[in-house]
Amino acid sequence: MSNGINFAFLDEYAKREIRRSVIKAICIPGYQVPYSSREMPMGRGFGTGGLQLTLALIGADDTLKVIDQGSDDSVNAVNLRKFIEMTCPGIDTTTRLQEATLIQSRHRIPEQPLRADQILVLQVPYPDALVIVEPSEDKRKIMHGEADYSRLLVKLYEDIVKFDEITISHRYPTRINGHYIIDPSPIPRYDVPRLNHSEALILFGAGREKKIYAVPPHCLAEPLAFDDVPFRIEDFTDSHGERRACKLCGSKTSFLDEFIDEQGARVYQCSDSDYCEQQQELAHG
Amino acid sequence: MIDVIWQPEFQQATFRCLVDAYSRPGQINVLPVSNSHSAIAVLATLVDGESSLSDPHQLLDNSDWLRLQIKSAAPEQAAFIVCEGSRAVDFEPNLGTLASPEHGATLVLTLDALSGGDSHYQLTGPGIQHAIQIAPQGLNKSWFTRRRHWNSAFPLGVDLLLTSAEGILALPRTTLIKEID
Repeated sequence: MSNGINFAFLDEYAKREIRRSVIKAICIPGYQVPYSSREMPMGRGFGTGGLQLTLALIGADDTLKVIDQGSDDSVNAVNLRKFIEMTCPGIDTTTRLQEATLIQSRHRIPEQPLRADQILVLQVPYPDALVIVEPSEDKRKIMHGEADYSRLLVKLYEDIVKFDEITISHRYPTRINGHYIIDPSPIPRYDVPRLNHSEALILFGAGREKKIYAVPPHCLAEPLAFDDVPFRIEDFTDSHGERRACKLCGSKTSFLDEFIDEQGARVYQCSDSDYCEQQQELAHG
Repeated sequence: MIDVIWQPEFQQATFRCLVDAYSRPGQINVLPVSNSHSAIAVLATLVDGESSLSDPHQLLDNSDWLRLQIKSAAPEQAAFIVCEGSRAVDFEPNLGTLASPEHGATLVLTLDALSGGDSHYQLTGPGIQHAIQIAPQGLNKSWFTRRRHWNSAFPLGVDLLLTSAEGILALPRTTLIKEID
């Protein structure tokens, strides 16, 4: 990088502010800590919240993995990875989860389990789960402080009355450590149970909305549900009652994306490309 | 020769230690090597003119204050308070508010050692898989007694960091501390 640009792009004052916010976010699990969210050389909404967290955390001995919807090769992941490589000389990047020390992700938690020495950073478009029931942030902050989520539960109840089902497909409201309810970013329902008692620290960064929050390791994370209507994940069974498999690696346990192939038929494939490739390598020895 | 704690590379490594320490309460994290006390290394990593610091026991010298670029505040108002852990508590820190609990103070205590003390404590809570035991050396008992009072109404409270020459040990407000015989 040319002279005049700091390691990891952010100036040291910006990093210190993010550091203070991250520490408070870990100390108050699920609470959205406000921070100033600096201008980045890309539009807000392109992962600037996650990017600022990654830049405040990263050091020259880190190995970084960047994922967009499970893929290391889609445009958001490639651009973020290039920017971080350019501004952080000395770091390594990888697509293999096992090699990474720092993982920035958009809308997926990796298929394979995270380790205690890894940190997952999730990009967040809308940080506040209460925004659908209360437009005023001042009031939402009080509701969060009091853990008053009755209106959110009414919204879920109305879904059940109208559709016999809670209709939230992603950004599923999740209660952390029995108090704060978070928007866990647009991860599918399939990923929500993996927030619970995770081995790795999970950090959430919302750049446009200027919030940082965290789910510490070994912390209770419960998706919001009712005693008689339990939480359920996506259903991948076909009309014969069989679990669909990935057409590339054959996995019958992974989260699948649906495609229409050239013949017009529906096909299914792992959303996590790194996991899928590793499964194929195992199969071919 | 300026100590490495004022260098960005050192502060980044120290921040990762802090993140790990607060993610795993009770675990002793070793800071990168420097000539300064761990408490000053931690402050150099976290604070600047945008924050506020109280030093009721005069642990920082004038050059530390200048390099931290931070203004002094009373312990009742400060975001960060650095204290000798062997002395009794004689102030009431900021606990934050219901809407903004992040304003609850961070208390950085200096100790002789983080282990080998006479009193043993069992910790449970987020970040701890089952339970973990600690025995900080020379910690005045009033800190944990007052902490229980300060942290009695979550999300309000204070977050502790015990420091010594060997490293740091974090006690976020969610950690439950029980003395064991």
